[in-house]
Amino acid sequence: MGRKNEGGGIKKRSQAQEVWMRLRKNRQAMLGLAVFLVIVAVAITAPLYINYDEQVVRQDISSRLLPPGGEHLLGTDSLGRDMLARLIYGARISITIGLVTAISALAIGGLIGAVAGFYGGRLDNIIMRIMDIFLSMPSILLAIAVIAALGSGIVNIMISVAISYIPVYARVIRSSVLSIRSREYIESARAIGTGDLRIICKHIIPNAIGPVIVQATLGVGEIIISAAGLSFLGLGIEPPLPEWGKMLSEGEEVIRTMPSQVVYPGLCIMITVLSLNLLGDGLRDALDPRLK
Amino acid sequence: MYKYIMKRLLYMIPVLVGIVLIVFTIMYLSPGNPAKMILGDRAPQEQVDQLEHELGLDLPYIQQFWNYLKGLLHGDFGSSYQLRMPVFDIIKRCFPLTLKLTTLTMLFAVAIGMPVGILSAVKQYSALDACSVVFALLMASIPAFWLGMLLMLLFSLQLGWFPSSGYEGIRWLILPAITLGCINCATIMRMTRSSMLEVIRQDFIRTARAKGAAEKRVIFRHALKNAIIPVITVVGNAFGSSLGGAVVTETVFGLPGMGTQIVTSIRQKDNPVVLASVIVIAVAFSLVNLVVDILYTYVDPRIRT
Amino acid sequence: MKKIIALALALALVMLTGCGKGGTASGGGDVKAVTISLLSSPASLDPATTVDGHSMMVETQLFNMLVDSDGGNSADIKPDIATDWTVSDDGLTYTFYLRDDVYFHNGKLLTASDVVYTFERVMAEPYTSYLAVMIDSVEAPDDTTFVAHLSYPFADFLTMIGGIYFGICCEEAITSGEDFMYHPVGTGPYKLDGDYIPGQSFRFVYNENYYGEAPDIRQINFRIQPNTNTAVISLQNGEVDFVPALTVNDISTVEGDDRLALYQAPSYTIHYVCFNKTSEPFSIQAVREAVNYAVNKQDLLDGALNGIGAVANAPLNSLQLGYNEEIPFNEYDLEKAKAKLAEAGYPNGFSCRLMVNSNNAVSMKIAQIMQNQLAQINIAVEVEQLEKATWSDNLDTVNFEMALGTLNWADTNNMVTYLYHSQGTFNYDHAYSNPEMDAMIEEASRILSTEERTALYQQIVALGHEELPIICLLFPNEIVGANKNIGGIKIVDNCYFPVWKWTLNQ
Repeated sequence: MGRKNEGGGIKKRSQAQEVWMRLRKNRQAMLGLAVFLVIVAVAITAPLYINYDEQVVRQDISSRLLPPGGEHLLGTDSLGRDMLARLIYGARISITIGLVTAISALAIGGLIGAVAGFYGGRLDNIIMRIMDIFLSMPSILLAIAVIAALGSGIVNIMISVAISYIPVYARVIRSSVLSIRSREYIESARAIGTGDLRIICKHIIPNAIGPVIVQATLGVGEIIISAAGLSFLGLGIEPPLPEWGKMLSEGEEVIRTMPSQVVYPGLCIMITVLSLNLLGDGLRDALDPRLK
Repeated sequence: MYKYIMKRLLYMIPVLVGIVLIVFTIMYLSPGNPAKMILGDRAPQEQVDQLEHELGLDLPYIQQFWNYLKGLLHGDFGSSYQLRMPVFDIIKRCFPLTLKLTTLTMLFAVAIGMPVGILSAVKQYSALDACSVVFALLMASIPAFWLGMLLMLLFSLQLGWFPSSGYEGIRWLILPAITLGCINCATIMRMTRSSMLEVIRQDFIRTARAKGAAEKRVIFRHALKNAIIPVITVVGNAFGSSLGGAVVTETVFGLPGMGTQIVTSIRQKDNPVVLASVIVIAVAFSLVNLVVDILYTYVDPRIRT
Repeated sequence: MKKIIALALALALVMLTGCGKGGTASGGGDVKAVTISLLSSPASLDPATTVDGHSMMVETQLFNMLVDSDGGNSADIKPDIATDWTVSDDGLTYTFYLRDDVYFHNGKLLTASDVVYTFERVMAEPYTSYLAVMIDSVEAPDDTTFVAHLSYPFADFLTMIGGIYFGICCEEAITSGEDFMYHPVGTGPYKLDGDYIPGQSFRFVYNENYYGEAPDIRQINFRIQPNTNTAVISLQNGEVDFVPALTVNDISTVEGDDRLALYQAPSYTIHYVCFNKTSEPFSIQAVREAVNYAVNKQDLLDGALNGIGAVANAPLNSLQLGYNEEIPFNEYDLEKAKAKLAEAGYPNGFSCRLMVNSNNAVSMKIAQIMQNQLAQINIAVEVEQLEKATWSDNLDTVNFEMALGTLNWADTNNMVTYLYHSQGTFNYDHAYSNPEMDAMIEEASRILSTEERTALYQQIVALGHEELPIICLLFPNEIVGANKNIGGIKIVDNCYFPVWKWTLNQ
């Protein structure tokens, strides 16, 4: 749905400023941004107030499945580990998975899409047909198959999820590159003998990046959910790393007696993804002001 | 039109061959011995080796791939290792259920998503609009399997309104369809709303209003007709992605559909079933996209070229 | 005469198991039916092509064996299709005398040739042939006599052929072409009603041709519910009446519901750690001993199974032949563990991988707890969770350092052969090879006296504990939840639930 930005000729810095101005007026987006920043801040500073080895990893079989309250604010899990500490460390893992996967998929997909869109013709055709092949396979199934081949673990999860996002980003970038390619300033850059790579990096990508940033912001949220889904299917992160999807699947066995084991990790995923969605929506509106 | 459809159908062939190549390679590279999975842990190694030979799994990669393609050309999907029946029969059994679930999901999502989307665009900034925006955002942020678990706890265990799992009739599909539907409903709602907003501000709507056309007529005759195109794309995409996205939901609710079958088959190294299922889903997905594109030309004749 | 004895025995059996009121219960229009929840669809309804417990459990309702050994779980042998049998003095020839009034589901009379056909299939099918290696040949001198010749004496022979793999199938039904896997024809108290389609619900009804007393429950509905949580919810809702494989987390729910009853029995499934003994560090016995001292099995039991089940000292549980109470159960002692590590030349520990089947929830928990426990003696464990296919492939190709595994055998001979024999299927690296152990195992399988066998098996597991090729950790419990109105439920094994012995109070 890459909507064209009509102000393509305006200088890039002023455009970014303009977008930021519009974004700042959007209360929902600012709420999303604030919540996300808080979550990131909590996750980054976690080692300052949580002892990873003692509170997140060390088990205490005698104090397992404690209800919320007391020494353990949110209770303990089935191996007697503090839920709150694990949830906070879980943010580090889930957000890392989301960001790293989205950025690598964006980098690879973006390059592929830019090359396809810029050169066009035969190359474009071949590249996009290959992307079509990947797009015709349901992403979760592709991810499951890839994990079955690679084995589980945090890196393999990121690879398997990234594979299904690369063609999505390639498409988005390609279509915005196509709309820019024939613009006058590209023509003039060409006329003065600028190299292809320089044109792609200096002119095409910065101007095509808008819709992609929106996609990527929303993508981080989707990736967090996909990774959690894989963990839920038992294809996830290696222990003792506390990932939200894994905590959910571990809590599922006691869902009837201790629903809190399932509710908290689920809420964490929801709030994080919600904040990213609010931000992504705001960015979309800010980049395309006709709607508000 | 006919030529266009034929072109699109022909165009699917290389895509399908590519899919077969990719999935076949992934399954070939993934560790695990199908013969061992068939005979069980306790079977001695000699028996496993013998069965592996009988199934032709000790052949080189290229030969195995060629054998599979040859079978496909004759319309033979092969036989399931685990269920020891033609793969075609398994698909014939699982696919209708997934299709039913997806259709029900889309009915639910469209029936709620479109009207609410239209209303919240027409009455922008109203309480309804605010609610629908919040709902849509919330639903887009919830993992489907989590929602499914919560719905099951509430409606199945606490209230006892719906059966919890398995499949015996349409009643067994309601909770899964709501689970999947909520997420799609959110997307459709958002797209309808923003698409309507865009159209309502355009000149011809103002003209229609200025000419004194009734509000209802303006909305339905003029605005909706123009706003519907992006919505159709979204519905088509959602339909296609639900076909595959049903995997997790089917697992949560224990529905014996394609998703459950594929996950089980990947785990059991039942390669013929995995390959055939992915092919079928990809074909269904491409056909849905084709139908969407054809619908376009009916809704908006300008696109037809 | 034999028939009368058999009839008397059959009657006594029925009385004993408390199904006395069979004939009269379902006189009215309503058919007494129970609904059973299965975690996954049976892969086959044909005993000779069966590997999974769900198939075995379901087939039990459809087939009779020559003798009744509680589905291969008991050494107390009762007649079934064979009313009587004799064993030659050298233990090599078994002669069975068959009933002449047993009819298959399709109305055909069972003769000894069907039994011969069944046994020959079991000997030939790759799924089951390894179970029948001791059988040399079988024959049918006349319609009601069946003879099996063994190549060597085999003490558990009668128990074994009472297992469902040896369920007597109708030869004509198999050779006539219809796929027997999904169109089973046996002689059991129930028969398939309608089609069996994998993944979907199916139904068994009372077989009017059944030779024994008519069961109280006349219909069994099976429903596939892959998720235990939802299975329990449907048990509470009354959608299903019987859930055979509950987890420890479901116990409180079932116990807390006064319409439901909970049944437990020790399981024959041993959870153990095995080692790659072809390379250091685990080729050093002192290292394995250190691991044994560092593992607190009670914590494993509490953490992985809520304390439900038993700590294992050997691969045999308290019900099995050769159970040896003298072997210590939990040797947790960190000082000793550290000393052993130092002795082995690893005073500062080492790091290694622990491979686990990610489809087994209990194993996954055990792996996490062991990771923590071994950290205390500076063994840094990286838990490697793999899909079952990969996990089992890595075991076979000895591509692991430590691995968690499970094995289920009710009979001792198979259990110790698989784990301790130098050629045992589960002795993956075959690096554990002790001629003394091999000789003892082979000898024990041929001794006919139970006392002598028990003593020898006790020695075998004691030697196994001394040399420690594997460390036995836990036995879970079989946990079953059922509607209270079902009577006569007795838990023997996780895949033997004789519904025809149950009663239903409506």
